[in-house]
Amino acid sequence: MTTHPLIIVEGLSKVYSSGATGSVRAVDNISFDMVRGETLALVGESGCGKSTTGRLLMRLIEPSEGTVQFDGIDFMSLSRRELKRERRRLQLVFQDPYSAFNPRMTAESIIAEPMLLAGASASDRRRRVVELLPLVGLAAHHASRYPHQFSGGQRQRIGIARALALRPEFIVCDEPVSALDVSVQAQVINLLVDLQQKFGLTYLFISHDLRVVRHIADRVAVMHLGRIVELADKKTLFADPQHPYTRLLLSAVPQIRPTVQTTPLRAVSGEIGTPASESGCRFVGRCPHAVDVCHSVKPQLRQFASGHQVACHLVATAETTK
Amino acid sequence: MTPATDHELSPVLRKRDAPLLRVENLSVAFHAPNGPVRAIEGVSFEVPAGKVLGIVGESGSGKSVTALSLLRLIPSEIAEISSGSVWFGGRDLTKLPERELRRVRGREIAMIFQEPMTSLNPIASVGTQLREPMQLHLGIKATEASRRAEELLDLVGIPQPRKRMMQYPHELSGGMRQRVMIAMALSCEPKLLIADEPTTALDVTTQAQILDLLRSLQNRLGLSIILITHDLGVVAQFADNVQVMYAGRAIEQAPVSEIFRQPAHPYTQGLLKIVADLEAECERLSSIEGTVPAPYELPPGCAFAPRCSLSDTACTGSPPPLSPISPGRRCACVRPAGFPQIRASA
Repeated sequence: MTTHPLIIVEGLSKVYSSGATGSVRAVDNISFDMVRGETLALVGESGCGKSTTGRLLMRLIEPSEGTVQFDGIDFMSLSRRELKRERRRLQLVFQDPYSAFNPRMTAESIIAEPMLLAGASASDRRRRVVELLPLVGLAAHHASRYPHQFSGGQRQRIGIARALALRPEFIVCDEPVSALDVSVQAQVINLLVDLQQKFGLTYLFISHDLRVVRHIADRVAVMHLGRIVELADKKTLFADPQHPYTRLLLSAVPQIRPTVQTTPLRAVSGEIGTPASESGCRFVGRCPHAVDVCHSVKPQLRQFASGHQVACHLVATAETTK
Repeated sequence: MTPATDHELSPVLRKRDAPLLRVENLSVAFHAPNGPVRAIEGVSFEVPAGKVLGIVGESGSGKSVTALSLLRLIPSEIAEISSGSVWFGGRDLTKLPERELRRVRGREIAMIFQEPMTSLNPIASVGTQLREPMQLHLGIKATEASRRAEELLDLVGIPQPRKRMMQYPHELSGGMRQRVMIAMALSCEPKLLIADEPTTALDVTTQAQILDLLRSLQNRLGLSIILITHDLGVVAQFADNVQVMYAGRAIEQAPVSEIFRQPAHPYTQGLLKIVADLEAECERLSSIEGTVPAPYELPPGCAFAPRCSLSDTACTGSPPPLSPISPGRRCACVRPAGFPQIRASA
């Protein structure tokens, strides 16, 4: 295995203009790398831009700025046809498989659809579906059933089988377990981990739930209102979170030990705002530690320790150059 | 009228005063082409005044059917209460005429749902929707209702209530909508609030805020709450007592601290292990393999037996009854873990 990144994201932004009120930077200048076989979790609340980021990577949405390099290929310079060919190597698993499936298609035709679009023959498609069903923990007789005949967990297994159909290298998992019961979440996470080991897959795992992320991610990027505010390997992020927003997210995770007191940070946790002001830190309104500089100067993502980046004025950064 | 079989009904925590709500042996069946299908069977529990009962279970466990049936909110063309009673304020809600029941709904018992967007009316302003139950139930004038609506929005932590009154549901975030739902539910000062997965559709941070809000309102207003959830982690922070449901039956009832210290039913143990694993640093999550059986394919014995690593021939005869295992605790398993076997005498 090489350490050369599979994906290099640089300065990626998406700006939506919204009439009278001006424009919204849904994703604001984010950069990160991913090596083959790793799982990077992208964590944040609704509206922080994490799903948009996943779609930008696959160029399902055109970025306003920035570049994505996949396995040495500049995705942004590809023609429509080249893009269609290369994009097979990247797939997407959605949060709610029920709304991601055509209710009038059987499980078999749902799983086979990407192959149909890629021009595979009927017998090849059939063979691959038979191969895929047991891989995701479904039985052969499930092939002829319709989405409504499956439980939520089984539907997500179909969604995963569809994503695997074209033997991708990279999968964007967009909140794949958020709509599932806790007990079923564990099954699906274990499945994703098994498949990753078996096929050397690389995952971008998008979630708002740090509890889940902890069991699948190698590294975690915390996103807040379009910006990455902290990025570190999983152990470091959970043991030594630096950004106040990361700490807020960690404090919000439900705990089964009823004795654990909620941290005072919860008291100041407001609503996620809309990214309006371009100067200053976007977390300033909810931050208990904010000082003057936070209102006026936008904090950059800087090296805090090896492999640990933080975008906060109040975190003393290591004296390193990028 | 008092129930004749009171001695059989001693669910969780029967000390102190009479419970606000007492559900006895409730069974609900859905109409199906091939005859009725049992959705819940023989469910009994109590909610003492000012306490929170958490009802926990997976999809298909019957927890939402239980909640909806308390107020007879499932249309009679779809399902019917085949047996049992719901005692509230000296009346059996299962027998109450529809007209009288409508005075209980929203007035004495209010309900909030998982998805506030589908529960709110998309073409009515927040103010209109907040005023409606008060004008209907309390018979107050629109101006008075508006004044109270603003107070309620303030109570549930919505800034600029006057401005919000004029807005429509689509202009609000998920957390804001759920706050509006809670304000609406509290508008007629109910004694009991039924919250069906109130935070499941929300971000973890918003979930924490909504739970904090419900907790503080409960303390301040002396509310009783039934909280329905699939997440034991939510229950741990919030409930006084817990009822775990599986395939339409209550399989364990206990005070919250005890159920986390020593879960008795293998299913409860499995659920707890998953949540504990989620919180811990571990390689592989434990899981309960398989899924909840559908109501029309229940095994003859314990419904959990096919997924249970401890099951044997004793589990396949008939469903084990929910029996006392220690003071304040009941479990429906032939051998509850860590408890001496107290078999229900015939």
